[in-house]
Amino acid sequence: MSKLACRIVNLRTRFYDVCEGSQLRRGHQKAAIFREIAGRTLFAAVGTGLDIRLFPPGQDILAIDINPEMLRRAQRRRQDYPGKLEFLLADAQGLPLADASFDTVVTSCTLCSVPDPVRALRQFHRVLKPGGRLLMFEHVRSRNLVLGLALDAMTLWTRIWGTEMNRDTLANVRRAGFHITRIDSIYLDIILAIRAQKPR
Amino acid sequence: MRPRRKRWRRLAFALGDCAFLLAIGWLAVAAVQVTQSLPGSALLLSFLGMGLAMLIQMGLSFLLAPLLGSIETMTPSMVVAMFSPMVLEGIEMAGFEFIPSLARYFGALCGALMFGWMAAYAAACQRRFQRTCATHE
Repeated sequence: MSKLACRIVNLRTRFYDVCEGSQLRRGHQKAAIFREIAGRTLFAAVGTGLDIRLFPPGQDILAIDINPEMLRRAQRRRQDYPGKLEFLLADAQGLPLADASFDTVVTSCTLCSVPDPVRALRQFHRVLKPGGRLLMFEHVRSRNLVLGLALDAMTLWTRIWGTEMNRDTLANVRRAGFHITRIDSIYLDIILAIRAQKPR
Repeated sequence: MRPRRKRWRRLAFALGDCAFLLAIGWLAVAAVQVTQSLPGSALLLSFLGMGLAMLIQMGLSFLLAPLLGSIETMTPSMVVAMFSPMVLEGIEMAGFEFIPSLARYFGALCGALMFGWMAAYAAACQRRFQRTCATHE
């Protein structure tokens, strides 16, 4: 990573909680999909742990992030969680985890920031047990021409800090071998709650 | 969340979204008017005005993102900030001259129209995804 990219990532870490403050609007919708967490769970890209307070209590969760600074900031929130919550410094594109070792994989605005989303989704597919569920709260490119173009334009500068606003995540999920079972619109066709399953 | 609280919440966010888009439309046209009052090439000043409108839109979106949501503020307001001055210029080029204050209200009207369209599109998205679910189940 170049020095400039490092600086931008560190700056993003510092302002992450402010930028992701949209929890006020979307928090209860995230909590609704997190309530479906069951069994051993992998949470991909925990960030500064803003989502931890939305996790249902008493679960067994392994949360990963690629950024050690994010994990350091998430520690305080981890201690407040009433359940088993472990942290692991790992890249979603190359998970150091055994095959078929999780019942649920959860992502929350993760796939916009992963350089190769299909590779990451294939990793989630690998670590999930057959019949295991993938729960996603993600923003994607709108199918509407005007909104889609606005998201393309935004990506020109959000890309600087590693966020792609115009990904076709639904197609990527299918490409990785998942079967999509349900899609809920959170905000138009841009922010979606996606439920998928690894075939048995 | 209780249904009544959910309804109030939805209404509060809808009012916030609507007020924000009205303000963006108004400010975008005002920005273009400010630059057009400067001496220089009219075309160049129009582009400068649109650039200024986009800057205002981005700044306000960042400020309101923690309250109204980042994508929820940034995406529709970008469309309003881009299109309301363009539509106004188009109308004026067709020979209809607005008085400056009316032009700013026209910008706000563009914001209101965007809000109305978004509400209709949101309902269409809900229906589309419900159909998708029904075919999968």
